[in-house]
Amino acid sequence: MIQNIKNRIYTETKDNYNHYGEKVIKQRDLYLREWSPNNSKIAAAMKKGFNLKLKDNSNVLYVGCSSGTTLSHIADLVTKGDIVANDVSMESMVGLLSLLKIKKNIIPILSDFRVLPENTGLNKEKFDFVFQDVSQKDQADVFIELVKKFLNKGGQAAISLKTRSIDSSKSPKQVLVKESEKIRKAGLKILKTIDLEPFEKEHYFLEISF
Amino acid sequence: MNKESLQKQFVKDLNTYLSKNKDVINAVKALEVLNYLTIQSNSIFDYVYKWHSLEYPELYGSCSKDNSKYIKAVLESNKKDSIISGSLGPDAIESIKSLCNLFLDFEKNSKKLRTIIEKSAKTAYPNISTLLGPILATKFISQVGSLERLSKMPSSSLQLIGAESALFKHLKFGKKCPKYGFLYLHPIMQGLSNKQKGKLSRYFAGRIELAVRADMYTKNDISESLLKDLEKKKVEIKNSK
Repeated sequence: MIQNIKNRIYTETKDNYNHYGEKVIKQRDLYLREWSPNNSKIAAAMKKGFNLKLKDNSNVLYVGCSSGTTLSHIADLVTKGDIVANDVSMESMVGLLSLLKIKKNIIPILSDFRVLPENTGLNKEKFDFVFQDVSQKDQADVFIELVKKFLNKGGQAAISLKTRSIDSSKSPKQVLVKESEKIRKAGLKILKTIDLEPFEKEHYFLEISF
Repeated sequence: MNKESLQKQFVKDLNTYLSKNKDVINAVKALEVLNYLTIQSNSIFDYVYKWHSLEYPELYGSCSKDNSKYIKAVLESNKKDSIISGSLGPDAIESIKSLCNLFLDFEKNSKKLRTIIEKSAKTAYPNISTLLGPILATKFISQVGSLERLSKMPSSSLQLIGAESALFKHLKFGKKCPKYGFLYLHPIMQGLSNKQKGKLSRYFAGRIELAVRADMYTKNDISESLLKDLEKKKVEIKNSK
């Protein structure tokens, strides 16, 4: 569950742990870990009006998990379902190892996100929430492929676009228009477009359904 | 979902990745530490010199301006050596000498790091390490991320590694395009005019690309023929207008 205390977002968990130096508050038999919008793009989007529809038994696909800052909060929310986390960088995935000991439902996959649709390990899986946070040139193209293959009916998907790594010579808004047209043409619906300004520079967060 | 087998696969992947790339990882990490140590030891030297030269100003000149020689001389210097020595007091001299020991410690460590870089560069990427020298070759790899990425780059991108800020100024604001990045640090680029350096660096980048691909895929040793080509090209460029 997500709690709002004094305009700050917290996630409830039964495990007493601290993953990356965040603030932890004790509330009876629960621990509340602060989800700062400065550290996490989902939290920043939630501050600006994004509604995260996660249940405790939903399955999650998280592409570009890095060392698991946002992932740890999603693992707090999803206690019964499985979370598949993917990244290329071995160095940052090593930071995930301490989290894996606490949250047994995380399934890490070390591979390029471009080969994930053909990955034999997740052949017939479907997910209720698909999130992609990689700063690559072709991120929107691969995201369309991922959503079409892995998202459940009625599921929620989101992408964070880093416009500077898609095209550095064009303005962020031009890049956003081009990329969202690409997504619309592929048959996906864009429900919300959020500019992540004070928290992240030149980033856009798109909520998408299929 | 086959949860357990996927989780086991992850640990296996990590292990294989590490054991496969251990030479490259070691070289890159050692280079990072080496850069840090050189900066720190230079600033330590600066503080020692500024402090100790107050009472013994002629010592640096007598060591022929060699930093490590100077530090050793400071450790051995006595009160009687200079005209005004002994005026700073024993406490100051003691702390200066402990700083000197720190400097020598850093120097010893950086020597070790250099041997690590040379050793692992020779086993992991012999061709570019003979073409560029082990430290410059490792600098290229640490900038790009891995040997594989470097091998998949076009040579025109490789030519500009290390000149990213100038390149993006060119793309965004229309400033002049850079002609060379880290390649400028190689001794073969010396003795040429700027225009000639641009020409040579383009050719040089092509040769490096061949060497990287040989290291990554065929594992043949082609570095000597590439070096000969490079020197021939340099003479050619120098003689042309």
